[in-house]
Amino acid sequence: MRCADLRARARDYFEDELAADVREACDAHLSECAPCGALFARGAALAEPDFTQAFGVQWRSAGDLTCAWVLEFLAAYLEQGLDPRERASFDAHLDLCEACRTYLTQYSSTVRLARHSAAESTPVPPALVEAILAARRAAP
Amino acid sequence: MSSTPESTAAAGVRERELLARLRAGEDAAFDELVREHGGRMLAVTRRILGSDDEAQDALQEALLSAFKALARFREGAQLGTWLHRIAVNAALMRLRSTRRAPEHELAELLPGFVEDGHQVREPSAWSAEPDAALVSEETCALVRRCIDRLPENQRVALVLRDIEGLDNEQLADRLGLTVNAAKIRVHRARQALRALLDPYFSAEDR
Ligand SMILES: [Zn+2]
Repeated sequence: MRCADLRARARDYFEDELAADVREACDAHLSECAPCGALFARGAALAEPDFTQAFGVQWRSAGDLTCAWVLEFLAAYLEQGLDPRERASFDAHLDLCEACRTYLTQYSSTVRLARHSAAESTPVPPALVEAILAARRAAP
Repeated sequence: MSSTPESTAAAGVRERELLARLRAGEDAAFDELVREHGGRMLAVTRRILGSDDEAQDALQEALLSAFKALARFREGAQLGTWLHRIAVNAALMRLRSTRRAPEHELAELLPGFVEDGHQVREPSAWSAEPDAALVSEETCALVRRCIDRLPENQRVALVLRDIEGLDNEQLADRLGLTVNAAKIRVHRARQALRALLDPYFSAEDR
């Protein structure tokens, strides 16, 4: 596996979405290639510009962050998981970029709606109640 | 979840009595347990599995394994909480045994970016910005349908994190993922659900 092949799979690698043999090939490359190894070790911390670049995302646009970066780290932002420097950059981008502000609002609404919409209880069909009780009586 | 009007102390007494009757093997006590807790357990298995049939099978498995484990139930713990955990376990076990083809590819539900890092399609603001406290039952049903349409990995992560209230570490543990992978999966799930809700809430007709 070449460096470019590995880096193209960076996202799937970190999201545990690779087939076992591909993951093994990636791990083999990582153990042999110092630059990729260092890049991925930092990528595990999940807020590194080099790593974001390895995903093919560039650093410019509103403030010093791209929309792609902002949308990638929304959850970390909302969970207070960014360091102060990253947080300041994030806020600066939001001040300048309406699209990301809209997205952030919708993302937060989505989480609240999911929580609020959950059914507390679902009626159990009477036949199922009977089947469960019958299965218990039949069990040793 | 909300508590009943009944006082906590009275509920505790009633629960201890029920437990004693269950341990004595009284048929009517099992009937009572299923009728009192089955609905909440079914709601949990339903949102994790995304299908009525599988949710009902998981409920049956959960209750039968709860009956067997009654001897191990610790006095003083909440019966409802214990049964809830068993229902989550039964649903997750079932997921591993039945893999279904996803209705959507995850990638098509995530934001796309052009070369300079801007979004390919900028989001347009949602019209009646849905205030969770005010949404109608109709809207809740719509949100539940959209959650059911998420790819399975993302649906399970979102349900466990945002509805069942697991934290990132607990989620990683339950799904056998690293904490980072668990966080990313939840993030992708929320992004995908946002995309599924977008056509319904978007101010502009597309
Ligand atoms: Zn932006």
